Amino acid sequence: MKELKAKTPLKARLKHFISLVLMQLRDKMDRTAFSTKRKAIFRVVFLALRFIAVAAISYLLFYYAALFGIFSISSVVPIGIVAVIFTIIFVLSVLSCTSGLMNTLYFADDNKVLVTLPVTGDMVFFSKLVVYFIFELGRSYTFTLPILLGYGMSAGFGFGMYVWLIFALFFVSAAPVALGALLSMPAMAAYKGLKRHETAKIALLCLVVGACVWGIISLILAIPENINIVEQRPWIMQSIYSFVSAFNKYTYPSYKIATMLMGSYVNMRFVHTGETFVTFGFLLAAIVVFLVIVYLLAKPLFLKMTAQPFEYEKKENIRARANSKHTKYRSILLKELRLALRSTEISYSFIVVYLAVPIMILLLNKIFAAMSTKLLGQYMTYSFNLLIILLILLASNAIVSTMYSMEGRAGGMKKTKPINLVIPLLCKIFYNGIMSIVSIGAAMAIFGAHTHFTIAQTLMLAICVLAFQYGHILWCAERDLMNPQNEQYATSGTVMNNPNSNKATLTAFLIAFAVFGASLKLFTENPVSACIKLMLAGIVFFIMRAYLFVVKVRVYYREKM
Amino acid sequence: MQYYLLIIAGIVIAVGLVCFERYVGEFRFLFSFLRKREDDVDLSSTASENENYDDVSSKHIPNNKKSKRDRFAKLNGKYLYPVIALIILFTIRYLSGDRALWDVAALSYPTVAPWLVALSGIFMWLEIAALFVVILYVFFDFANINNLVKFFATPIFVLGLLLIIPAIKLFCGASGELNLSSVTMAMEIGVGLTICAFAWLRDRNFKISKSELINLLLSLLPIIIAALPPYTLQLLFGYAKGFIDIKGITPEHRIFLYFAFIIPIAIYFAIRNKSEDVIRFSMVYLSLVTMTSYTFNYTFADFLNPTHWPLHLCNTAMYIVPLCLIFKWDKLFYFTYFINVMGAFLAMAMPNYADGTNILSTHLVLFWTNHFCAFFMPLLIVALKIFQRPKLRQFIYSMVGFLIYFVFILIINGWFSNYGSVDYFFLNSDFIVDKLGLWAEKTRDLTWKFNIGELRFVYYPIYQLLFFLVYVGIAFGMWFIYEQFFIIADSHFDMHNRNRAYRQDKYALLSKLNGRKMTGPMYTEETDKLIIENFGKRYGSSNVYAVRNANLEVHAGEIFGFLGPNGAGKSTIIKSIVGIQPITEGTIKVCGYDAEKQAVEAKRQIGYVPDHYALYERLTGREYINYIADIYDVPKAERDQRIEGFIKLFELEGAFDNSMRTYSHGMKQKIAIMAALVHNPKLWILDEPLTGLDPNSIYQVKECMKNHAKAGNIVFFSSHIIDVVERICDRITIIKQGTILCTRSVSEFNENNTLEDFYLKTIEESEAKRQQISADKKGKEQLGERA
Repeated sequence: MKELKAKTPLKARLKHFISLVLMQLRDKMDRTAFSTKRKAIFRVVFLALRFIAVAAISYLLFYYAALFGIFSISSVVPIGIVAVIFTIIFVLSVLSCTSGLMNTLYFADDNKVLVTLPVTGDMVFFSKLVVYFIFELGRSYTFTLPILLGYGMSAGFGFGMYVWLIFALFFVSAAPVALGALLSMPAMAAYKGLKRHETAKIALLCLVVGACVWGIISLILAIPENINIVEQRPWIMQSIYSFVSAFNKYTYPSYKIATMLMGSYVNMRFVHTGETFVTFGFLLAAIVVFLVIVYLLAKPLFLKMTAQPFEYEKKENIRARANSKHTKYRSILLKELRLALRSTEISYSFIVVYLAVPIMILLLNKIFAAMSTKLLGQYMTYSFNLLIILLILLASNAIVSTMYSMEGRAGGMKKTKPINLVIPLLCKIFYNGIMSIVSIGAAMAIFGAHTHFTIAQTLMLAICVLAFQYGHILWCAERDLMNPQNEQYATSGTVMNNPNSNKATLTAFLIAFAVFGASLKLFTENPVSACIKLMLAGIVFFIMRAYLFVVKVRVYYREKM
Repeated sequence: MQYYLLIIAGIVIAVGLVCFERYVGEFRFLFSFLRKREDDVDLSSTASENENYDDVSSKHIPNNKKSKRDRFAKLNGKYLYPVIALIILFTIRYLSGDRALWDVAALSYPTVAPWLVALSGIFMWLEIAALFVVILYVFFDFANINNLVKFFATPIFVLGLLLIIPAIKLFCGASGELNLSSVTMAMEIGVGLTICAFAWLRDRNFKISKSELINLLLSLLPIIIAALPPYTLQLLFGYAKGFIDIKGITPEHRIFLYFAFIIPIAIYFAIRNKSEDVIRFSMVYLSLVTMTSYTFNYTFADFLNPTHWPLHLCNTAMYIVPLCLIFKWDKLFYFTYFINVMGAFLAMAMPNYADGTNILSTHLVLFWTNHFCAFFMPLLIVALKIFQRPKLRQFIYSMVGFLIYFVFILIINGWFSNYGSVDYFFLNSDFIVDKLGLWAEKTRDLTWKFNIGELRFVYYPIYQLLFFLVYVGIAFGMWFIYEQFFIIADSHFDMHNRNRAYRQDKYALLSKLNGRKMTGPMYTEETDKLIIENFGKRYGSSNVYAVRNANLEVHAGEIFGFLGPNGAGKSTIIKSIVGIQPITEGTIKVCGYDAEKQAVEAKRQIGYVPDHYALYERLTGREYINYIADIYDVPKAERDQRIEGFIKLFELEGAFDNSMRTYSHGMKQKIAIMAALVHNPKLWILDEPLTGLDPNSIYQVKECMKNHAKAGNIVFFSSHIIDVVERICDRITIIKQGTILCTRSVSEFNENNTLEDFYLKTIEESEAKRQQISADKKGKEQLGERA
């Protein structure tokens, strides 16, 4: 390697590095969206519309928050609130980068290929970081930036403030990547340790889930019996102020980055002071320090991991088991159950979602119950319940839209088996179906107990939600089958920016909000007939998706992959 | 009596024109631009008849560039001149009349009895439908249009003989005196009758088959509904009850809006599978009758008054659409596609008719007919692929067209305002800003006024510029939305075609089995063979064949070797046999079962080892093999015996109950081989199976293959290792670039003439031949260019 470095001129090395980055980007990006001029235009328009939509929503929220004086009596939402939002986004980015970089640096299958190329290990390592940084940059500029722009518009930023924001965000986006790369090392160690000790892993997960449940239930119990926002406004504002102050105190670096981006509110306007540039300098220094540490610590680890022949240790002296015979359908279900239980990261995330739904509904209805609402307000709470249930459940179906692809090449072998293909494909989502019934049943029971609906009406709404959930599961599954990513999963073990997941999430939002809007309209017209209409709409949606799933599997599935 | 004489005059004129056309004039070249391309694909043929279903939708799209002159319809070759006469008579009659029908309500008419008013009103409605059927009859030639002329138009024109007097009174004035309108109406009936009579003479068959009758009746319903004149409902039923108000987003209004979506979807589903002729006829008919309905309130006199010109955006669609359909003006069409559709929808969402307008009134029906059609016709035309999906270029053309229209309207508005109240496209009044609020109204405060001679021009630059920009922006956004709908429609259409082909395959299977069990072999004489007949494979919509015209026959007890360089098509054939890929052409018979039509039964006979192991690695070896055995329904005792045998053979004793993630490449390959053999298949297919195996395992696999063949089964084996193939195979075939070059018995080879030599020689010869063909082709092309 040293020899290679010595012989290759800097220009050539730079060229190699760019090639490496581009090669990985091409591999990981969904290029079908730019395959024709028209698709590219639509893609650009779609991204622009999404950007505008996020900015507009952000602007409206900040504008109305300032107008109603929710956070402050001043005409501008305090920077502390923005700092809280920024911190949440930042922390989520760090977590996402940690997990993503752990996979891409230490467990990705393409490492074995990349290290064989005539480039140095440093180049491969940094090319992976740069690729990840580019994706992070995309996320920042399409999500964080419009939110901050929305705030800027509501607060009346000058032109220069926007230019600075766009410029500084470029460097801020590097911070989660650098921090994530650093944290990916202990995360990898913990992951490997937990992988070796399955019991410890399950215990830890139970502990985390239990803590979350306990936390939320404590929160539910802490809800006062009577909430009157108008009367309790001073107390609420004081609480918010205390919370924001405490939050920003404990997340001081993030608060400083937020103020560096947005400036300080001085004399009724936002300005940048010398402190902004000092913070910016500190941020750059911190990123450099992180990267140096990462280079010194993570790079050797990265090279060590790429040299490992096998990821999994063979267990010795395993007792030979007997062969067992089942019917073919039972056998397929059993196989899917085994695969699900052994793919813990997926099955646990589903369990968390299915647990979260009834808990969230309990929390929501406790809050609503404490509030004094008029008739229209009650209808809104009913619709809001449906929205929350559907949003959480349907958004979680994004995982379903990758489930078949995650089988890699083994998925294609199903086609060679003497069985109607629809059944083994449905078996993959069988457990989601069962868990959905339990989760929706519990959530709707809580909902029914807190509202004036009869059991029959609650049941109808439950059927409605279940039908939309089943229909959406089938839709996500169908999307994965029609646009499979098996080859990418087989080669790299992951698909970044999976178009199927993105579409699944988008449709989840659309369906949830469509049901919310329709239910609100129907409840205000006639709550009794509304339940019947919503149930019928759900059933029609489910039947349509089920029909399309069966037909598409029958006529297309053989050709895909 | 005078009107009957005029009808006879019409008949005489029509007969004269037919005779002139037949014996004297041969001026059909006048309409040569309407001629239909002969080789257009008929979509009424079944999907199975089309070689590749992938191409069904693409064949349906006429190429605007290549066949601009050939896309409409061929002339029937007869009655062109009488039809021209009919069009002229109808135009004169329609635009000259002082029509009383407009104001008639609930059958109350001074000089005609109510029952006669009802009959005449219905006749006037049906006559429009019959008239356009007869006109289009000359340009289209399919069974149903002949039947429509014979069994629908003929009785309507005969009815005209009976109802001529009251109809003329209703249409041309209560007195029923002779005038331009009444004269042309009588002659119109005469000419119409004559064309119908000639249609009967051309096809004298009175009988009509059951399916033709159903087709006729089903098509009559939309044909009649579409031709509904705006006055008919008011004439027959008067006004509806006062509370039915569809102004604003009321439930009644919503119902009307729903219909704006239901109607085009229904039409789309009804005719999307029909032939191109039927689709074109439907669209042209629909656009012409609705244009006729819309122009009911226009007379010649209106064209003399500029303030009455039909220049409102939605109104323009009513005549742009039929013009574009008839003359194939695609650029103009995309203008209406991007601009009119949206304008019409906005108008429907906030209808601007006067207070007190009633649900059945002439004004209201006119408003909705106009805007419904302007909204859905352009979309429907693109959905049915009469015009291509627009590209960026078309969008730019249409925006340029919109700019020209906009400037033209600005000039017209400014100019004609000197003569009366003019507000084309709402650019001259405060109608739009009034709906949007104070902020919008302020945009009109800035005005620009100037005089040219005695004419005064007033403009609102900010408002009008914003109007233009917002419209262009919305048009761009709508393009995106239309595209999404079309993607859904196309995918649904493609799915529908494939599903139909699937069902047809099922019926073909049932027919071939001739009462035998579905699970029984389709080809009972070939139960111990693998037969590939005229097999061809293309991927997706590509025109390039991965494999072409492959034929093979492998017998029981044989080990058959499949040789060829990388990318030759070996894996393509294998993947089609095992069911991973569909077959584009030809047949594959697996032990008597058709691999496509009896896929499940065929797969039951096959054990397949892929070129790269594909396993559920989170399972243990035993779990995986048992799962496979369950799918093939292998009895417990048999599987115990086989699995234990394989474990020993492949030396997997210590690892079989470990997770497969811990296995080496070779071990995984062994599991793949076990999975392929656990049900003792009649046909064992191996695609490069020896990669990654240790020498001992290679030996064991070879022994397995020999034993499997010895037991009377087929072993089909693809490999690059020629020595192995030579040693164990009975016969081999060599494939290159998707073509099977030869099939030989291995016994033909010896030390002096090894398989390796033969293989290399065959490949070389094939390459030389290919280069020769390529050079010849190039030479011919160059010669052609010089010529």
